[in-house]
Parts: sequence; C-alpha cells; structure tokens
Amino acid sequence: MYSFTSCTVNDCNTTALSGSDFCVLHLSDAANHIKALYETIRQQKTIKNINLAGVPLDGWILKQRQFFGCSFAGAQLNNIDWSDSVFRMCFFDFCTIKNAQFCRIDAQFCSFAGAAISDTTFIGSELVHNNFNGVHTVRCNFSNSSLYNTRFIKSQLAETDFIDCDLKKTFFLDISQTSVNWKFSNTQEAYFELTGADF
Amino acid sequence: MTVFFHYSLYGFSNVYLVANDHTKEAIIIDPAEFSINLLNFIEKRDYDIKAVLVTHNHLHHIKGLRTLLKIYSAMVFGSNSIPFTSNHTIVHDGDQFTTCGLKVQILSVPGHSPDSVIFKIEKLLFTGDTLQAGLLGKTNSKYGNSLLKDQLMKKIMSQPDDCIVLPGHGPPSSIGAERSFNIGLLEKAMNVEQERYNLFLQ
Repeated sequence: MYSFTSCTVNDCNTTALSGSDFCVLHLSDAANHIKALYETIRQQKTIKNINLAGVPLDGWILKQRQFFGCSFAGAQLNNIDWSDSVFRMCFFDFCTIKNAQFCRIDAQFCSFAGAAISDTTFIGSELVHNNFNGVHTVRCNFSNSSLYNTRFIKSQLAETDFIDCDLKKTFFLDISQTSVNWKFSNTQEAYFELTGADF
Repeated sequence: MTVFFHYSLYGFSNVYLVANDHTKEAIIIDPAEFSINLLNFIEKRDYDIKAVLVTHNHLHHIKGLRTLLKIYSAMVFGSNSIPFTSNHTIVHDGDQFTTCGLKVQILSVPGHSPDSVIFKIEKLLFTGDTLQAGLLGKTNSKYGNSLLKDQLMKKIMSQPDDCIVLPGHGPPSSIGAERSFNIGLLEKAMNVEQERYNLFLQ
C-alpha cells in the first residue's frame, strides 16, 4: 500500500508524494519531481505503492503495466494511455480524467469515486469490484466489459455506452442518465433501486 | 505495510491481509474463508499470521477462522465471543494495541450487529458490515439503523477525507467519497438539516 506519511509542512495533513517529504502543493519543484518519477515508472512493468495524489499528468504512456496499491486521488490525468494494464487496490478518487485509454484493463478493487471522466474508453475491460460512485462521465465507453459487483451510486452518466456489458450485481442507484446506451447488457441483473438489492 | 484483499465466494465477503514488510508478520481481517489459494498466497510471501481481527461474529466473516487457527497460532481480537476459538481478546471502543508492529485502534459502531467494530490501522478503516461504498450496512430495525448512522457520523465521518474505507462487502472507498455519495448518510444529513430548519421555524 502507498505510504500514508504526511507532508512535512506544518498543519498539512495531505500524504507526501512518493520519493518526497512534501505533498504536491508544497513541493517546490513538483514538475521536475514528477518527470523523474515518470522516468522511473516507465522503465518498470510492475509499479507498487506509488503515491501521485493530486499531481497533474499529461501524455504519459502506461500501457501493459501492473499497478498495485497506488494512489492517483485528486490527480488531473490528461491523454494517458493505460491500455492492457492491471490495477489492484488503486485509488483515482476525485480525479479529473480526460481523453484517457483504459482499453482491455483488468481492474479489481479500485476506486474512481467522485471522478470527472470525459472522452475516455474502458472497452473490453474486467472492471470487477470497483467503486465508480459519484462519477460524472461524458462521452465514455464501457462496452464489452464486465462490471460485476461494481458500483455507480449517485453517478451522472452522459453520452456513455454500456453495450454488451456484464452488469450482474452492478449498482446504479440514484443515477442521472442522458443518452446512455445499455444495448445487449443484462440490465435485469443490475440494481437500479435499493429494494431487493443484495449487498 | 502491504495490504491484500481476497474475495471470498462464501458470503461474497472481503478478507484482508495486512502485512508488516519489515517483520513479515501479518494480520488477517475477517477470515470469511481460508482457501488453498489464500494459504498459498501467504506461504509464497513467507508471511506469518500473528493476529486475526474480527469486525463482528457473523459466519460469513469468520467461517475460515477454524482452518486458519489450525495452521497459524494467531491471536484473535473481537468485541464479542467468537465461534471456533475460546482463546481470544475482547476489545472495546477506544482501545488501542499494537500487533505485528502495527498500531490498531478500535471504534465501536453498533447497529448492523451489537458487536460491530471498525479497526483503524494508519489511514485504513476496516469497516466490516457497518459501512460500504455508497451504502450503509443492513440493520434489523429502525432503532438499529438510527444507532448505526449516529455512530458512523460521530466516529467515522469525523475522520479525514483521505482515510480509506475497506468494507466487508463490495469495493473500497474513502471517507471523502462516503461523505459525498453515501445514500444512507446523505439521508441522515438531510434529516438533521430539516430538524434544524424546523427548530428555526419554531
């Protein structure tokens, strides 16, 4: 699991970034630190316990990687390619994700709660046991994915496709939807109301 | 510290393993099952299970305890009597102890069951069946539901936003996310606001 060591600045309770004693707000040379981290990460296939909470990342290629216990909470993730990667217990809470590729990923036990996700594709992925509660999606595509036991409680879905998805035990409670395509998905096995939900 | 989760098909529960990377000692939280896969996983990494934490004594969170205790001589911690073991330590609200080099804090949150406790290790909250991603734990009565909400608001929602919620069922979450999107807790917050508004009108 990523380290919960706090930023060393007085009264700052934010966790410090990996390889630093400071959080992204108090790190004086954040851009160079993040660049150095990218150089390290891109040479590795397995990335464990990295904390990049709140950092702005743009254009990173992180295809075919394995991420374990990492935090990207509150980060601004633009134009990032995560295709064919594996994620276990990773946190993307309250992120802004724009124009990202999560094609054919295998994500289990991860949280994207409160994230604003636009122009992003998750096509052909295993998204089992994940938390998408409170997400705002615009022009996103989850088609051909398994969303078993994943939750979209209080999410706002716009122009988002769930074509031919496995929605068994997927929770869509209290959502708002505009132009959402559920074609060929087993919506009967998903929960749109709390009554009768098995949790 | 390393944290692993195991999805138990018995009761569709989450089993957690928290390991101290320096000592290779580990804690199991809610052993819903103790399968050969989980055993292989532990042995492959050379972990020694020294402690078991039980959030509440419902069978689908402890069924694996008997097998586990035949293999490892672990201390068991819970707030009530625990089947399959007569030798366990009773914990109470506010207690703190250290096991496997990790400080564990106890937060009693009755409602789902009278013996429900949440274990806090650093910024990790093992919530059992009290709090899940977006939902509250099931209760058998209105009183239980009200008690659960009150205890969660008092003891758990006062934790920092970046504390991680690792529930007994369903995906992980964070306190910040639960504060914003938990249906049961938002309802509670709305009721409190309404009560304040009613008082103001009087």
